[in-house]
Amino acid sequence: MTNATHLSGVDAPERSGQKSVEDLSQGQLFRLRFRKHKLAMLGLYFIIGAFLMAGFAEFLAPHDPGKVNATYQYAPPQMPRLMDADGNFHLRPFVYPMERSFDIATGTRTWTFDTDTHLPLTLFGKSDSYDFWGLITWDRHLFGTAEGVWYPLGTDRLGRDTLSRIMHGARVSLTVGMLGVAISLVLGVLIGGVAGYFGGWVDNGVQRLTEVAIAIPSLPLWMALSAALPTWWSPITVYFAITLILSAIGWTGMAREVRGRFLALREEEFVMAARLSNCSQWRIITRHMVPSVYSHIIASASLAIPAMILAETALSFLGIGLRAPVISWGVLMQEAQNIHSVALYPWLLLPGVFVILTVLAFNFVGDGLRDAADPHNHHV
Amino acid sequence: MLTFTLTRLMNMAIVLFIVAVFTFIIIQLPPGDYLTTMMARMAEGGNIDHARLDALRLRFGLDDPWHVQFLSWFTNMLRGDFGWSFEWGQPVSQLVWDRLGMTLALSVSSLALIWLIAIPVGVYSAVRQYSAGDYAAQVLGYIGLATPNFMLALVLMWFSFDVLGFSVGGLFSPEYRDAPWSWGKVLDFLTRIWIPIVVISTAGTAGLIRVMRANMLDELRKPYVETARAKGLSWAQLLPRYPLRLALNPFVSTIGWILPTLISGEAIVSVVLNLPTAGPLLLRALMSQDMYLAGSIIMLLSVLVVIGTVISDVLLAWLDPRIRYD
Amino acid sequence: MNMRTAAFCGALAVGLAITLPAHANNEAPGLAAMVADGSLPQLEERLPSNPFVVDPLDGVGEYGGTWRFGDARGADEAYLNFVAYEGITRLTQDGSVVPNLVQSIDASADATAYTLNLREGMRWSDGAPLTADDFMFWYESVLTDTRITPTPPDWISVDGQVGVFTSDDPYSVTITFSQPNALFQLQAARWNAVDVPMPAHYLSRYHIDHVDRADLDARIAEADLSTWTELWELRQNALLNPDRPVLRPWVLVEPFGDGLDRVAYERNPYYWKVDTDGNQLPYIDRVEIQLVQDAQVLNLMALDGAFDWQLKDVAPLDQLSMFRENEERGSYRMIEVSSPVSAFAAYYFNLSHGDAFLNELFHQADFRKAMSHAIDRQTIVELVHFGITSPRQPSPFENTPFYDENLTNAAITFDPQLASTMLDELGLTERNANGIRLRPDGEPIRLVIQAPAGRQNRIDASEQVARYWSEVGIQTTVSVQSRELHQERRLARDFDVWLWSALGGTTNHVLFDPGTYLPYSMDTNSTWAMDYAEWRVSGGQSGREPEGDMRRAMELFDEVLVSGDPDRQAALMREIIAIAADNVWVLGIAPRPPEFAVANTALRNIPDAFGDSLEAPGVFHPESWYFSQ
Repeated sequence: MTNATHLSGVDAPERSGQKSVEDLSQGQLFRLRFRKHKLAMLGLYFIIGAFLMAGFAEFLAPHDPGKVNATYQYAPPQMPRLMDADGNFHLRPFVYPMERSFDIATGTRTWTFDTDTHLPLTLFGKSDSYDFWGLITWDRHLFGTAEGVWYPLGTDRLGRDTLSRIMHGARVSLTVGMLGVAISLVLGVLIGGVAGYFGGWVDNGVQRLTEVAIAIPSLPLWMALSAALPTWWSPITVYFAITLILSAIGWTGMAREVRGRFLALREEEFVMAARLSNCSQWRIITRHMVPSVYSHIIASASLAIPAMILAETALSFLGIGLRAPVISWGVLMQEAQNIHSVALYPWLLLPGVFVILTVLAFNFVGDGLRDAADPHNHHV
Repeated sequence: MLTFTLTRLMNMAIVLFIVAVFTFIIIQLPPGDYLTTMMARMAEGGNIDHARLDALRLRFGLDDPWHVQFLSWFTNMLRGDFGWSFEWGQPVSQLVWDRLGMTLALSVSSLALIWLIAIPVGVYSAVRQYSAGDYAAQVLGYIGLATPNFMLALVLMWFSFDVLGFSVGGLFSPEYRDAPWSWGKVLDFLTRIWIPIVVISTAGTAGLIRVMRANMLDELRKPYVETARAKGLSWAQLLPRYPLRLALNPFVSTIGWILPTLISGEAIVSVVLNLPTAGPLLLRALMSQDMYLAGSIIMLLSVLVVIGTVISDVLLAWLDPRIRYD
Repeated sequence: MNMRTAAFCGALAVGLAITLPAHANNEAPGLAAMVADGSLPQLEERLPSNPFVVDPLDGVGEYGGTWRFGDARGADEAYLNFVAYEGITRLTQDGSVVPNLVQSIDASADATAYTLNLREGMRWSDGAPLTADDFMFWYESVLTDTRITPTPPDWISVDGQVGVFTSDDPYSVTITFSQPNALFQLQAARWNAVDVPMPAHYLSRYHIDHVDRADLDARIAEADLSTWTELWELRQNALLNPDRPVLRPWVLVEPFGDGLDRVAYERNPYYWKVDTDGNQLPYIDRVEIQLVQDAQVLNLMALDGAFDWQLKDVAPLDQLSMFRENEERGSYRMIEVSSPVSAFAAYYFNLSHGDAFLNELFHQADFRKAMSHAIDRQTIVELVHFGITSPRQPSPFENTPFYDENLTNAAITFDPQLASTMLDELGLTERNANGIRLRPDGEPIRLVIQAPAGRQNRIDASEQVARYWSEVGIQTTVSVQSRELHQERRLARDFDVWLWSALGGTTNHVLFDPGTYLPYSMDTNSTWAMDYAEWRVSGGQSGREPEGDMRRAMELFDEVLVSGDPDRQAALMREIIAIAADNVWVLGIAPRPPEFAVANTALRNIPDAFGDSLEAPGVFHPESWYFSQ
């Protein structure tokens, strides 16, 4: 079955044509088909990047995401410069320090650059110390300035660094999606599988249950469940509760998918054959049926993740999701959900851009996976 | 056909009963009740009027065991009495119908807009599969799906105010609110209503483009299409005759699953834009533990969705007889 | 009679009979038309013989127009009441108290009895006369009827005993308290004292003691209710029932629920106030309150000129520049409204703590002072107020007779070194590896600041306070919770440090609720000493008996209550405040920054600056506001 030469070649099917495809395993075929989907590959790279960012946020972020700066509130972004105010070129990128003034009569805040001082950028420089994954204490950051402060994407109302907060927020937002989908995956496969395999009244009962879950519009249901969370719970408990709440609905889609596949598979010859050779039911489900719907499940899951990421932001916006001091994209967007952010401090909406890109990426990957799993069926 | 419809209707009744049980459990979950909310408000005002609190507690049987409260809520609901809203001091039924109507109107208008976009774009994407236009349509659709509704609503609201110079907030300007319908009132309404409809639609369009495109691709692969093309029929002549009609059949079933999405989208957009729909009322009711109001809204929204699903199922069975025996 | 009251009466000639000039335009055109077609009595018959005379700020105005404003909070009764409320007495812009509904008040020398002299010929909004019966009805059938009022409100009670109402003449009512109550007139001026009197001719129909049981049952059935108290509750609520006669300048015409997005009021044809030319007020025909769900929309609407006078929820500091920029587009101007809040964030250490060690610790004045020195107030002010407020403890403002520099500046210097030394001297010398001080049992000291949701700058400030305290070795975290839970914790005395704001900045607020300066009542400002407040309120029956300075402060305040002389009251209060300066009962950061109201440029008779945001605009005679053409 295995063919080592084809495994390494991305464009193998095109080059070698139909003949060699016959030699490939299910999994290899799947991967090859997936790689043909350019948008899906792009999405995959983005997601890998986002997860790396979330994983190494402490090191990648230039600042401590919770550190306030009383003289740098609502500071606009500043790009690194090579040319100074006098038009001279500098090989080493630098930024200017900024100074704020507030006029109560007009309510305006003005920023001036102190062009006499250059703050050269540094790589692996020392800055705020952090406990990396709670294991080691370190104070090196990928980039920053040796002295003074630099906020590449500006700051929020308390002078906290937008970029660092986005990076740390990715950690919560991405894992909420992953964890939520993992839970709904288990629930969905279990419930859908049982219903699809046994059929009859079991199927009927599960069908009703899914209908109930689908009948209650998800956002009002999430709202009701989140509003019920005790406000004295610690942020971490709320985080898990929100994840559970999100997956409480997520499993229905998964269960439907699995059930449909199982109903169809039940009639297939290989299942019949397994049954005739006295395989146990458990064995039939786990060894024969689940593997054949594997790819579909992965595809559905990857489409469910972005929905959960969006749901997290929606709950935070309504004030019943995660709350500060937890940093998630939803919390950041909630803090920016006011007209002065749109009108005066648009950089505060950047977490929203990250949400959009991530959701896009997951959808492309999901599409790619689905096409790869079942190239002839384009139905949802 | 009749048996099929009846079975679906019976299922619907069972589902709705379970929904009612769930709803009641959910609204009972938060610790405390509306009186806790009220007490806190009084305390902020400086005076706690224990008199009113005790009177209300007794009056609404808030100390009764929960199954007694559920049964009275459920049986009353069957009679059309949805209970009392503590916060608004009115029967729930007086509060919800107008707003539910608004929710339905917004959802249906958004659905219309979605179809208006999704059907032609889906057909185009299928006919020109893997073309630049196909990709562009899909990416744009996904961007709509990926943008959080509340952020889009806020940005559009500011855009409408600052760039277009329109007024915002509510469905009408105060001067037109009570005026009879006129050209000016229609224009005023349109300058406000486009934002929620566009925002709600963005979330659903991508999904429907995908369905339409897939349905269409299935039809286009069939031999009769190839035969027709071989005989020299242009796409413009061919498409409306068979492929489009056949592809639209399964499309009908999308009402069932897009309705919950629209209602969810509507709820959040209305909070941002201050629209008099069910969503903001529900949020407020949940926050202040106005339990009968919250429960009734969840219940009624669910009824909307279930009815939508049943309609789409029955329509589908009527269009495609095979499904009746599924 | 209170001295300040008397002075004001002289200045504005309130209560003096005036001759109505023969102008044809001394009532609104709409009402004049109704008089002409006979559907309304003549103006002279509608006004009392001696109406309340308002001296308009800019001058006599013109009739007409609609005052639009917005509300982002829903059925918030308090806010609606702020707009135009009519109590027995009222506050004036300069902070003094004058008779309002009544023509005059005669107080007994020992401040136990108050005789209210009503205005003859004054009428409810439906035309029925207002008499002593309406006061007696409220007293006999509402205040003392435990089916409707199980617990009487604080403002009419002394030591848990309500004042007794008596009347022997249709135009006079006497209220007698069991103890001296020198602050009665002040308390009666607040918006939460507006329910008295009640229209007996209308409401007695819904009260079981005044009506035939069968009639009442029919009414209950008609309204689809089950008990008479339910029906009562609905009918007496002037915010929900348009038929309920009122004494306010505007009468409810569109209650909550008719249109969920708007509440509307129209002029009261029997309103009993006139301007200096004898024109019946109010000038403005109609009031519309737009109910908005989201503060962002409310602000955009305000920018667009959708509101004629709006204070609540608009123009926060973050958005100020947008409001300045759009002044022309929205045809509004910005009016500065100062706040009576002397500490936007106040920290109440729990002197009723269940934990013996913490309870003992919090009782030490040096502990509280050390914690105060640990806070860098200037940085917090820069952070949350853009540096426009100045650090201070909760204390009376400079322009009040109670100002005390020692309290204002008590322990407000930022000196973590001193704070550390003071904590060391209190015996908290042992620390763990993280530098956190240890209790005698070896556990680290951990405090939680209980913060209510909302008012983001208060929470932001508290995060910083927690950080400063942790830096001097008292590990502190902030827990943000719903306002409901926050209040429950307060009432249960289940907290270490409770976050709120502190009033007590302006003269009246010092007297209304001096809770920041002594354990005065069980209300929010005395949260730091609930056990002691309970002792005071229960007359020593329960709670914990205070000692030393706290005892002394309570005794001084009892003297304030007996004294009718404002100078003596002020001297006593100053002494109480000096005690507070020694003890620093409550820690504050800075006052609340000024708020801004958005006012239509055509609106007249409004002051250019408002003194007290909590009582605005009610105290500024909105009935005398008008739109210039």
